[in-house]
Amino acid sequence: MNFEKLAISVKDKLYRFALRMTGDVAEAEDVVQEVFIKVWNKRDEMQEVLNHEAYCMTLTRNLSLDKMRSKHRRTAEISEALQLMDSYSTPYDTTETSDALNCIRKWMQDLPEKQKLTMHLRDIEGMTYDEISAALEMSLAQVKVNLHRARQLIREKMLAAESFRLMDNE
Amino acid sequence: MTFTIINELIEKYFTGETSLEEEQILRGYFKGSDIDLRLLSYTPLFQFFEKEKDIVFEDAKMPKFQNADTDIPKLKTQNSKLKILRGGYFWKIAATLAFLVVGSVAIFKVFEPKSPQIVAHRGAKMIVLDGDDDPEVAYEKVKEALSLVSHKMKRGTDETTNGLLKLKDATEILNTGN
Repeated sequence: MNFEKLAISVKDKLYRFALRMTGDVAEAEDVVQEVFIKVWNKRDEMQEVLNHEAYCMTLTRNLSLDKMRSKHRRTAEISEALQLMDSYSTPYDTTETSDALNCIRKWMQDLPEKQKLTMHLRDIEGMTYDEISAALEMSLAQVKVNLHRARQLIREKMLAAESFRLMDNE
Repeated sequence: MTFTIINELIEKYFTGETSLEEEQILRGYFKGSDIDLRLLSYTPLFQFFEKEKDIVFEDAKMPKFQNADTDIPKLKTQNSKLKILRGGYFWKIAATLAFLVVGSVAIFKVFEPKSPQIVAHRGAKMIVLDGDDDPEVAYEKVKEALSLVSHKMKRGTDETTNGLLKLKDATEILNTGN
């Protein structure tokens, strides 16, 4: 594998991951660029790395954390549209699918950090438990617990929204 | 039938027990148009997962690197060996080793202990004989050494006694004077 192929194969994953963490498009782009610059500068040491993708994910996570810490940023918002949403709105308030998706995005964004990242890597990137464990530097047991809790929380919010919609319709 | 299977998978999914294959089945089901009404409320969640994959990092924002299509070295050991030879480390290591060997030999020569043989040891006194390993001779030499020590000690006692006698005489003269 050469650098170019590696970069092409992981860039979107890294970007989505950084975006999930920072909640900011510009910062996520900066993070991905910095990751590639770091990998390029350390390309001679890359032969020591068994899993290039997991290595890049870890770098992305660390750089995103640095950005978040330095700016004391909350990561609740991904887009301006989402910021404008009424916090009491439900995905079923309108018939627009995008609103429902935005609500789920916000719920996911509001999850505790580890749960959010675990769910992201599993449900959006389709990674195995081993890969998630390597990328997030946590044990397999922690990965499973975080995933379970994250999905349970999302389900609770979905059910609450459903109940709210039913009550509203009555 | 489909409802039962999907419903079971949904329950497994929310408890975090589904495999990647089972999650793929769920995605495929909720992507379709024939969704059971009882499961419809889960559709946005799986649609959301698919939609998120549309977010991509634009190629134009990729940093540019020269020779980025060069292979990343694979074998650490091979590369490390080459680096050692190429980087001049080999000669540095060789010179250091040579210095250490020569230095050690020189130090050993300077501080090389002569090889006396200890043939007798009594209490805190040690008698050293150069290359003589006859027990009789050793005994005689020890005896001679001890008698020398004894003589010196005796002489010391006599001198002390003489000194005390002189002091006694002096004291008597002083007392008479008074």
